[in-house]
Parts: sequence; structure tokens; C-alpha cells
Amino acid sequence: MKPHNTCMEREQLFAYAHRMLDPQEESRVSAHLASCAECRESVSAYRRLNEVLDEWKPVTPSPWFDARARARVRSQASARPAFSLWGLAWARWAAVMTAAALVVVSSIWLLRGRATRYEPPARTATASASAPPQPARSQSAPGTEGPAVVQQRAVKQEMDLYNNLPVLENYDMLANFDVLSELPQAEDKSND
Amino acid sequence: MAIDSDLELMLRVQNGDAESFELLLNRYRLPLVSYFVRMVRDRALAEDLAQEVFLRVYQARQRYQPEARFTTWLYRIATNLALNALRDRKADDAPALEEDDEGVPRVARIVDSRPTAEEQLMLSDRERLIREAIESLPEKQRVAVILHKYQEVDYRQIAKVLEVSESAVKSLLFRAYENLRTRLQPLLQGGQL
Repeated sequence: MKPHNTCMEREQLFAYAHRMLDPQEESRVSAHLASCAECRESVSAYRRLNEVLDEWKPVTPSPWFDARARARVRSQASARPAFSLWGLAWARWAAVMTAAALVVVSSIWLLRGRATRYEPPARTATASASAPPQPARSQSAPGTEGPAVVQQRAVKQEMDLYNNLPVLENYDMLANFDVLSELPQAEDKSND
Repeated sequence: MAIDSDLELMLRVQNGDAESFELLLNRYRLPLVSYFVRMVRDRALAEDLAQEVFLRVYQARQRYQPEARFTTWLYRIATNLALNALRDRKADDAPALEEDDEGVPRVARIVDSRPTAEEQLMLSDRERLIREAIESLPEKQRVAVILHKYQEVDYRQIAKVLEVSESAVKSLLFRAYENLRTRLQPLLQGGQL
């Protein structure tokens, strides 16, 4: 028998017996086993142990195993899965938020569009250009006009506002349309 | 007719194919029940755990990655369940047993290892000796031996199941078989019990 110090590591012999070595290592161990009875015996012992372990037979499932497994999976499948619940809630929430955002954006767009389309005739040159031709005196500077002409123009502007109702939805227009500022003058006039 | 691979079946299960799930159930019910019986001994608990594995596979079907082998995934779920069941039982049965680094109890096992009436009918004396030898192994060694020897899972896959290196699995298996060799010496010498 060879001296023990020339034998291979037991872990390597175990790996050989269980075919866990790469081909190169396996052939190296095979070559060693050809000349080492002690290592051959170790490998045989691992293989015998493996055969002994085979005696512990597997257990077959009970006849009702399949039915129970199916029932558990079926009950899970019929219940609403958590991920789809989350998905659905998320999708609903996203749809509501998207719709709300669309309403806000379209409202702002509409209001801005109207604001840029509508220009009060008294404030812009284009408004006066599109207005019906006025007598020459009405185009003179406001300071040079008589009180009757100014009052007539104010009435006409007010009537234009009433005839063009959408302008009342314009926040900027409403903010600038300070009706109350006219009241003291009216009161003053009535007092006079 | 070609047999569908686990991967193909699982991809179909992902798409809602109940028949493919049924095929997986038929294919793996025996290996799983056997695995759990060997791990936890209690047959009723073993069947319950095996059903739980199928349920979890179904629940997690959308998270299954085709890159991973189906059996690796299956046995990882099964092993986690088995180890949790063993820990729960150990906590219920025993007042805190001190363990060494490998999980071997320092104090003598106080779990009743006497065979139940059912086991007496089912197991021969030799089988009982083998079972007790394997049950005496530390947790990870036991998992490695059962997966390697009885479930025919190769050591590379065992490494993935246990999330350790391949060389660690080889070493784990070596130590486990050395322990078994010592404990099962009467059977190895060819003696009848």
C-alpha cells in the first residue's frame, strides 16, 4: 500500500465519486486511482454510501393532494390578484387626473384664445379700424371732445360689451371693467 | 410528441394557460412531496408545504425570469418554506438550543425521534436509520444532501438555491457525506439490522 501522504485529498476523491470534477481533474484522479488502492477504496466507500442512501424511498402524495392543490390555486385565481387591483386603482387614478388636467388646460387655452381675439374697440387701433366709420370729430383726442360725444361713446362701448357676451367670461376684462368706479361720478352728477 | 420543457410551460402559465400549470403540478408533485417529507418528516405538513409551493409559483408567475432554471426557482421556494417550517417547529418544541457555527445543537436533541405508528408501517429499520442520519445533519448540509441525492439537483443549481458559491456547495456536500459515512457505518459494512 502507498504511504498516506501520496494519496489525494478526500474531498477530491468525494468529488470524483460524485462526478463533480471538470474533465481535466477527473482524468488526473483516474490516473492516480490506477496506482493507489487506498484512494480506490475511499471512492468505493463513497459509492457504497450513495447506494445505501437510495434505500430511503420517496413518498407518494396522498390521493387528495392534487384536488387540494388545485383548490388552493383556484381560490387564489378567483380572488382579485393584488397586482391587478393596484394596477386598476392606479389606472383609474391616472385617468381621473388626466381628464382633470385636460379640462384645466383646455379652459386656459380657450380663455387665452378669446382674450387675444377680443380687443375692446376703444383701446386699440384695430378695433377702431374695424368699427363703422365715425364722424371726423369722434376721432379727435378725447380731451377735445364735448361731454355729449363722450357720453355717447361710453354708451356705445357698453352696448358693444352687452352685445358681445363672451367677453364677460374674460377675467382680465372683468378685472379691468371697473363699473363701480363710475358710480361716484354718477352720484356726483345726480347731486349736481 | 415532444415533451414541453418547464420553461415553455411556465411561459404559457404566465400567459394564463391553466393546462400548462396542471402539467407542472403533475410533473413536480411527487418530487416536492418527497422533498418536504424528507425535510420535515411530517407527511401532512409536507403536503401542505408542497401545495403552498404551487400556490406561490402561481402567484409569482409574472415575476418568473426565463433565464433562471425552473427547478432552481421551484426548489428555492420549497427550501425557504421547509427551513421556515423547521425553525417554527424547533421554536415550538425546544427551549432555545445553542448551536455551533454550522447550526449543530450543542445540547442533545430533545425532539422526539421515536417513529410514529405510520412510520413504523412505512419505513424499514434501515430506512429509519438513514432518515435519522440525515436529520442529524446541520440545516444546510441536510438541504444540500437531499437536493443532491434525492432530488437529483446538481451542485451548480444547489449553489443557486442556497445562494452560496459552487465550491461552498462541494465542501458542504463533502462534510455531509463524511458525517453520514460515520453514522451509517453499520449499513456500509453490510450488516443486516
